[in-house]
Amino acid sequence: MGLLFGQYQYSVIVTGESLQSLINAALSSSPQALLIFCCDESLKNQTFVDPILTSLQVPVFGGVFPAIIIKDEVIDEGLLVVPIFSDVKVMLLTNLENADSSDFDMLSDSSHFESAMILIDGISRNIDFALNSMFEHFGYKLNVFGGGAGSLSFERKPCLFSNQGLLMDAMVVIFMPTLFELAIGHGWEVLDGPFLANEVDDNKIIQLNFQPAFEVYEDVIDKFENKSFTANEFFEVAKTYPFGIERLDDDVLVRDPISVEENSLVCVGKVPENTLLYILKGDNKKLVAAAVNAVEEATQATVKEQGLLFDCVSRHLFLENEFKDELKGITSAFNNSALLGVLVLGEIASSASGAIHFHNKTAVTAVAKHPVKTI
Amino acid sequence: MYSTDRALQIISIQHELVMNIGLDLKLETMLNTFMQRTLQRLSLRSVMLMDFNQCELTETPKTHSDGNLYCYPQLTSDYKLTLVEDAKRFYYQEEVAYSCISKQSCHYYFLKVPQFGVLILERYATEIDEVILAALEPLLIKLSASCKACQEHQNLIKEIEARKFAEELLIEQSMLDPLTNLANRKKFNLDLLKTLSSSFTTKNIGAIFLLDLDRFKVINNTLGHAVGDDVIKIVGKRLQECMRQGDTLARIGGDEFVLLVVELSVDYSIAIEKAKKIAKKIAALIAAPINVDGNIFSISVSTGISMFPVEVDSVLSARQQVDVIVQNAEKAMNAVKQANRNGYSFYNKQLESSSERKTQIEKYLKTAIQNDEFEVYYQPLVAADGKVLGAEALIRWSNQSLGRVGPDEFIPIAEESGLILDIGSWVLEQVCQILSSVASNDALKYISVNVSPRQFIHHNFADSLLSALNRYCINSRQIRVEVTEGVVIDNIDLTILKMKYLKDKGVVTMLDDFGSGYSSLSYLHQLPLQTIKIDRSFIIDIDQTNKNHVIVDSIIDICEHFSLECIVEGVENSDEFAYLATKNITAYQGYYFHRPMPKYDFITLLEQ
Repeated sequence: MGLLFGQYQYSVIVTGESLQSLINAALSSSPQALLIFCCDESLKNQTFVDPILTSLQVPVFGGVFPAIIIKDEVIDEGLLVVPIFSDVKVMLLTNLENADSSDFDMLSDSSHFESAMILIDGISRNIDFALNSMFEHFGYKLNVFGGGAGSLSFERKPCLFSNQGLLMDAMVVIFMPTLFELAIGHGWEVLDGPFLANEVDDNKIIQLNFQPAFEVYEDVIDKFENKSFTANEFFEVAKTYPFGIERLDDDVLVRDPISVEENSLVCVGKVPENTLLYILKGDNKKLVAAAVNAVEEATQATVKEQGLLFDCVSRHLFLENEFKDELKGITSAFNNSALLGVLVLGEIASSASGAIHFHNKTAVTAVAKHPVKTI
Repeated sequence: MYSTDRALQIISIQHELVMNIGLDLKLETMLNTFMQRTLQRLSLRSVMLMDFNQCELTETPKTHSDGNLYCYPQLTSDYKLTLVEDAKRFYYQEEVAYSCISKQSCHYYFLKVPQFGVLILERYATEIDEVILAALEPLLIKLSASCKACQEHQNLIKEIEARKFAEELLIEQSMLDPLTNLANRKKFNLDLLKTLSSSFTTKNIGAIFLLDLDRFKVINNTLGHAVGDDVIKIVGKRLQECMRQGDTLARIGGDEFVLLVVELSVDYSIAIEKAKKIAKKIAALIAAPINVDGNIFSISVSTGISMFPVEVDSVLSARQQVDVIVQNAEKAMNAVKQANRNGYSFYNKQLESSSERKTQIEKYLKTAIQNDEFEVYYQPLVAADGKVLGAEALIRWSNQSLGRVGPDEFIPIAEESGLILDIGSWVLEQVCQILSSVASNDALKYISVNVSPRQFIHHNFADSLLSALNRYCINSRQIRVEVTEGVVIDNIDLTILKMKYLKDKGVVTMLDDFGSGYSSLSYLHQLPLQTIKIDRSFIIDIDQTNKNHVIVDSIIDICEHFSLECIVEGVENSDEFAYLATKNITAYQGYYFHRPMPKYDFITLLEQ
């Protein structure tokens, strides 16, 4: 059986020379494409990237993330170049903010692929639209996973690697013939609810049960947890109590509240109007268990070889030292080998029904079931 | 889930989905939003809506929005076509709000969208709770209303667009000449107006070239209109070679074209030079032989050129300027026509003064009869021995303001203005009077009257002539009608009918000025003529030069061949007469014998 990716190359130093050197080393195994993950902190100077990427003769894709994951290690500096042994097709969609549905028509001749990895600028405004358009074109037959690239500082800057160089406000779609099993787990549990989100503006919850959203949220946290927002920074408290969007007969879709604006709660990702919301609570052990269990379930019946992990950066911030346990648990499901990943600004995954969702505070692991191309 | 939570869940689903209905007036977009939200809220795999409202049940939709099947996502169930068939059956089941079928781990729910169609929800693995399905029922009523509203809106838009398209087409067609597909007069006027508006600011000088094909009627009348149309089309195509970007070429009449040339130069003299070059190019393009069905034509053109902007004493609006520019070009073109045709002329002030005289003449002509300003002169026609056989009635006009005005000058104006009808009737009356008074004179066989084209084609002409003869008890043989070839050319069929009618009544028609212009021989055999008058231009100096001998001899031979009387006019001296005296000529007319003379002089002559 062949591998999805080969011997990866890592360098803690990120310069033109090191990038070129890692690429040369990765190319020595004659891959069909290259995957590059780079830590945001290490790429202050981006000028050397474009000449190298644009001169490459093989497809290249990847992104800049808050941290990269190699096996059970979170590494927040350095560069990872991974040779890919799958007959991938890379498509770019730039100027995402002004994209319309017809921009996705060019992707239509890729409908014969089994899977697609999506790397998207994590602070683009049109992420939901882009994912919905992908689903509209490909339906449930294309298994989709990926995550949002970018900086934890939320600074707008180029963050996606491609043969056209570094891109911002873009989406890179990597179609693959490889079959993946997706393990989606978050472990957040209902603290209170449901609440009717009767007034919403895109990612801002204005009213819950016809009351100002923040007041409702504040009351619940105070009532159940005895925690006050006046004494603490909002996110310090809120990172433990995200919202969950109810989906019929499905796990809730997590939405991370990150700030308050005039009694409204601003979340990462869109919240549909008139939907049912729960206020969730996180328990470290349950969170870790959920992520690990999901991977174990996904890998039980498959050959445990390789996986790609897109874990939420805020999950890392929340779990702190116990995040290591999550990675250990996931890695062990892969026989302690061959897990590569990144901490992302929002996770992307097809649900069991097929719809593509943008998650928060969730771990998405793509388990390569049948790497199809053998070198 | 607690019962209160369940109630809230149902309310939430209803609200969330209802709020996503009717968010767009375009049906596809509206449904896309609704189906997308439904899919996510109910954890579905796909959503389809089959529209039976506008779709024949025999139709089977092929793609996501063809026919009347709307799908989200586009690539939906493998069983799409089967599901459509199931949906059709379900739609006509009475009192069943929804139903479900399961295939390979998937559940397909059919929900009726009242008076519209069927919504199909595809769910993987888990079934949808019946309570949820029942909760969807009310929102399907709103969905139906919204779908129908979208369709009505779209139909309205289609109707408006179709009407707009038809209107635009009509406007476009109303601007085109159907024969040549060139612009018509209306479009030309609009383009000239537009050009004038911009030339006020750019100070660029342009020109219009008014083109009239010389003697084009001959082609139509002799070879038919189909051939004439082909010639016009060829000419139109050739003229297009003179056009540049922004110029307009229009056909504004049967054989009239106009070329609008913009931005010749800002310098007037340069603009004039360029206009001359264009006029020469036009003439050369048209002069090249034209072959239609093996008939080869050589056509010439008379071109009147009017430069713009025009310099006028008074302030004119752009629209008034358009009129002036076109009128100027017409004046220039008429000047070419009145000269020898086949040339070009620029409009100038001199043309204006001749135009003013024309206006004066027309003005005084209107009162000439009532002021008794006309007089009929008679020029005798004699036999070879000098004996008077007949006479030609010739009108003379003397006006207090204008003095004596020659018939060559005022007859065309009278013809153009229509005054010729009254003048013709007056002349006829005069001739009848004199015939009546000299009835006892056996020598005078007839007096001929010149009849203009307009007079001849007038529906009442023949009957009013016969009525006058009756009134004065004159034998119809005593009066003859002289028509020019122009009369024949204008409408040959009508001319033949009228000539036959007159002939049946005993009135002889004479063809005047024969050989002067048109291709006379092509129609001569068709006409019920008795007499031909050879044009005076062939007789001048016929004794001194032999250049017209062949023509005159030929015409005399033709007359013999067709058994026609042959009359020569313009015999001015004994030498000319000596040459002609040997020919087979019925009568002679000219100063050598008699000048035109007033009525009483003529009566005196007859009495001698």
